[in-house]
Amino acid sequence: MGAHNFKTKLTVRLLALATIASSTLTLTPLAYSQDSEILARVNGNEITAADLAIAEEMYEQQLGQMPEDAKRSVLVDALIELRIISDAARAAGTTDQDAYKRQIAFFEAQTLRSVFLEQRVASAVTDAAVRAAYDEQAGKIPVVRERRLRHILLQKENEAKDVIEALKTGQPFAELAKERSADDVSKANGGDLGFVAEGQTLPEVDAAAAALKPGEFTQEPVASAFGFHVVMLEEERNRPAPPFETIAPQIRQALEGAEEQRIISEIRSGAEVEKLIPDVSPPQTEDGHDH
Amino acid sequence: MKRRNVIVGLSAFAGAITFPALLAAQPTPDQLLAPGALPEKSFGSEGAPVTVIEYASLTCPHCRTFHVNVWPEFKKKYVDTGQVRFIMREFPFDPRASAGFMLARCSGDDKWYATIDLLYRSQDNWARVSDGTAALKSMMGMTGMDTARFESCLQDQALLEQVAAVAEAGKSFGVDSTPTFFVNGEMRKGALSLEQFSEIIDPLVAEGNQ
Repeated sequence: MGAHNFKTKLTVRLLALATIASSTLTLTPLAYSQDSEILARVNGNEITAADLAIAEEMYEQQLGQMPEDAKRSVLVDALIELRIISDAARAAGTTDQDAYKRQIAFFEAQTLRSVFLEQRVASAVTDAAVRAAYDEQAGKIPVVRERRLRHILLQKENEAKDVIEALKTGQPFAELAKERSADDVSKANGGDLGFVAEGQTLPEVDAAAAALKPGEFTQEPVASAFGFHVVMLEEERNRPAPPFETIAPQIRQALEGAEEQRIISEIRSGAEVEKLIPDVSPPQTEDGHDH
Repeated sequence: MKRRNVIVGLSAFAGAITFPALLAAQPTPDQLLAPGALPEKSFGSEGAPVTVIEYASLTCPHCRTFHVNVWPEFKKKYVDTGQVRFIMREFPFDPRASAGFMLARCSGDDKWYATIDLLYRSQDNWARVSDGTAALKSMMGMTGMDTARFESCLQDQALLEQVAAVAEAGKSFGVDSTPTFFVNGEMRKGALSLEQFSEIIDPLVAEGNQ
């Protein structure tokens, strides 16, 4: 039981430390008027809003979803208990024990590691570095031709011919799509299929669209297994790279990960390390796909 | 890890009920060709000297590559010439792939392959977007499937179970990734190129013609 408790608490604290490292800059979900606001007293010692803010970060993952006032209350209870028990432990001389010192040393090492790495990584991975990586990657994305198409599907060839005749008299494509298309999805959008990359739709429609100029529609029905299609090309372009804002967080994360690894191996190369047990790789986990 | 154990456990269990003889060794061609939960989708002559069975998933990029880049040439060279009978079987890895396979089955025999082909080609537009159902629905619009049919198809529990049963049978034959091919019973994992197929198939065809 004691061992189990120790393990659980250790996990909780490990999680908490990991959270501290990653969220120092993104404080704080709970808004408190004043850090010095006193929320409880234990044997004459005060528990303040600043203590609560730390507790919230520490225990965030275990708290899950709950109303703010309940969260506040649960956390203050936890702080009260923490203070009562830690005071008792101090009084009992626990801080002189080796077991205590070993754990503290471990947590200190872990905290030092995360604070140190976070600062070093943050100074290396600047906004400019993220932008430069984006520009480089955006330049490497292969060119994909895409076409904004409108589409009407008809069951019979002569129906498709009728639609083409109507288009030739100047009737708007969207209107005809709405009235005549058997495709009730694109019908709702006036036949608009949005931008379709080359090679990503029915081959017959793709080939017909490739022969059109913007504003043109197919002069003959396009036959497929599904019926007869009338296709209009609205616009043609090379697919734009995803906007900076949408992929900057992933790029930053990747750069930070790489930088962290670089720092670690740099420091490691100057350290004298003797691992006295054999290297054993954990078993591979598979996700079933052949990547 | 745990999830994987469950999956392996389930397939072994299903195998024990349906295919008691297959658990240990590679399945024989007869076992591989035994009727499954859904009508077989095959191309080419039944008397062809070589039979290729493909287990694939509609959301798997390598399966798309095979279908778009290799299959048309493969079909021309081997299937249309009577050398290979080619069977496509469902092996969905996720709910979206199951949905795609169900929709293709619901499209009817005459539109089944064209639907599979459309879904492979358009994979990027529905397999890896946030609202998969809306994307699939819009893609199926191209085939003329209306919203009511789309919805009733995806609610067809029996069909879902049949698709799953085809995959379960595949697992009992040792399939655990896609695409996986059986060439006259011999298992080959991964999307092979036409050249790689030729190396395997040409000798078998020569043998069969003797």
